[in-house]
Amino acid sequence: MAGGFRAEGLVLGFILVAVGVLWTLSNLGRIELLATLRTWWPLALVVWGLVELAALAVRGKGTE
Amino acid sequence: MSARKIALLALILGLGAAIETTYSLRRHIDIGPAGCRVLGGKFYGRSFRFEEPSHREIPAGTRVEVVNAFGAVRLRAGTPGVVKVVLTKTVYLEDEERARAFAARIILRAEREGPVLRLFTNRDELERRDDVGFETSFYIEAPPDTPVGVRNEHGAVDLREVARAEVESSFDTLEVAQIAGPVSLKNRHGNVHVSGVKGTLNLNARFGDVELEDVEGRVTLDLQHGKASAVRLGGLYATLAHVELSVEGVGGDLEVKAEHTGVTASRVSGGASVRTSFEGVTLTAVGGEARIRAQHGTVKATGVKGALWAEASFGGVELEDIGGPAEITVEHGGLHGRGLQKGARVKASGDDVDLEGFHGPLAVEADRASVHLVPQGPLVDPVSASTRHGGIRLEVPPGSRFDLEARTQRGEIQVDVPGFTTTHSAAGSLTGNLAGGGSTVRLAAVGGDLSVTARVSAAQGP
Repeated sequence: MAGGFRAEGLVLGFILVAVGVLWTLSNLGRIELLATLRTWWPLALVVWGLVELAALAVRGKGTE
Repeated sequence: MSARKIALLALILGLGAAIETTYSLRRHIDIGPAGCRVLGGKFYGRSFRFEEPSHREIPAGTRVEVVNAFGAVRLRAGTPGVVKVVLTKTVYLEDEERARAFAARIILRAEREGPVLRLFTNRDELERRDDVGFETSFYIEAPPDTPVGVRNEHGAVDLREVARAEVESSFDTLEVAQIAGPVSLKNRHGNVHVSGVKGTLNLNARFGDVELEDVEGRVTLDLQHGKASAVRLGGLYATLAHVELSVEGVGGDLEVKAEHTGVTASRVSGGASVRTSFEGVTLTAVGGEARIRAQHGTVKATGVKGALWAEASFGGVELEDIGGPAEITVEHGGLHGRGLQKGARVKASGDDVDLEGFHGPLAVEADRASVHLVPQGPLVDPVSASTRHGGIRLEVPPGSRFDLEARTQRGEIQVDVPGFTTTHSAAGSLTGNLAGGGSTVRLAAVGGDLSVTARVSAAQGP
């Protein structure tokens, strides 16, 4: 990976941030945590896929 | 794919599965007053209650019929000519506004068909369209002369102060009180309490306890799996299975046909007929005849004014103060009797026969049992006693007159009564008379001794 960049590390970080933000919003009474998580959790797979594609593109430019 | 990627994929998918599962079960997992419940159903969690009062005018004598489910039905006497209904709707939803909107869709129906007013709700329509738990409870005031019919499931029924009542209910308690006429009840999986009925009572119940008080008419009780206690009934005819019955004060006859049921009854004005199995029977103070049969159970009867027939197996028989002639058959059990006023016929095996303070003629056939006989007053009536594998002991009160015929195999004969005259004596047999003779006393034993002794005055009489 270029510059020691790992896609899965980025995705894990993204998940932790997202869950933390949602949980906080739930505690503030802005959202219903379980319903929101149930709706949006597949986005984690989408985001990971995008990050992997971006990482692949970066590696491709580095080898040119 | 690296191990890190596989672990991350598993983490995301696992998290998603956990979220989906929790979301699906979240309305069915509760920790509440009933404990921790999984798949708790529609009737759990937050609920909101709404009341809807209404009234209908009805002519005198109109029958009121209530059909309900999942909620209580309570009915009291009110003012003549008017039926007042308060329908309480309890809706199980998290949000009050949604619950209020749903409750508005629960409609009370009141339909008059000739002399009948039917009260019910549109529950069936709502249940077909929505998966929302809701209860509908009726609080009704009806004219005092109203005949009432109720059909309710999963809810308590409480009826008071009406002309007559017919109720079918299940899965909750049923209470009926102060009814001027006949009552017919059917209940499943709930306790039943009936009091103050001036007419007859017909009760069919399963899986619940029954309490009856002050029913002036005859009670017909069909109960399985429960306890039944009754006080002051006009009469009782009971068909029971797996029940413990206790009755005190029956104005008429008592008739019980039961299995696996213990029966205790006292103060029965009429006759008593009790048949049961695998439990015992205890009767006290019966005004008429008593017929008792207990298979694999004991029989106890005290204070029976009329004749008594008692049959028991694998349990003993205890009798005290029986006014009429008694006929007792016991297998694998003994007999202990005091105060049999008009004699007895006894067949017993397996345990001793002990009769103290009896009057009248006596016939005892025993097997594998000893026999002990003590008349209450002077022995002047015929007595016949035979046994195998046991002895016979007869205590003779002062003033007795009789002819004695005694014989035994593999035993001895001993007569020790002042004034007794032996007329014949041989090995294993003896004849003679006391005070010039009278009724015949026959004693016979195989494998046991015979003993006839004088009873001292101080110990006379039970």
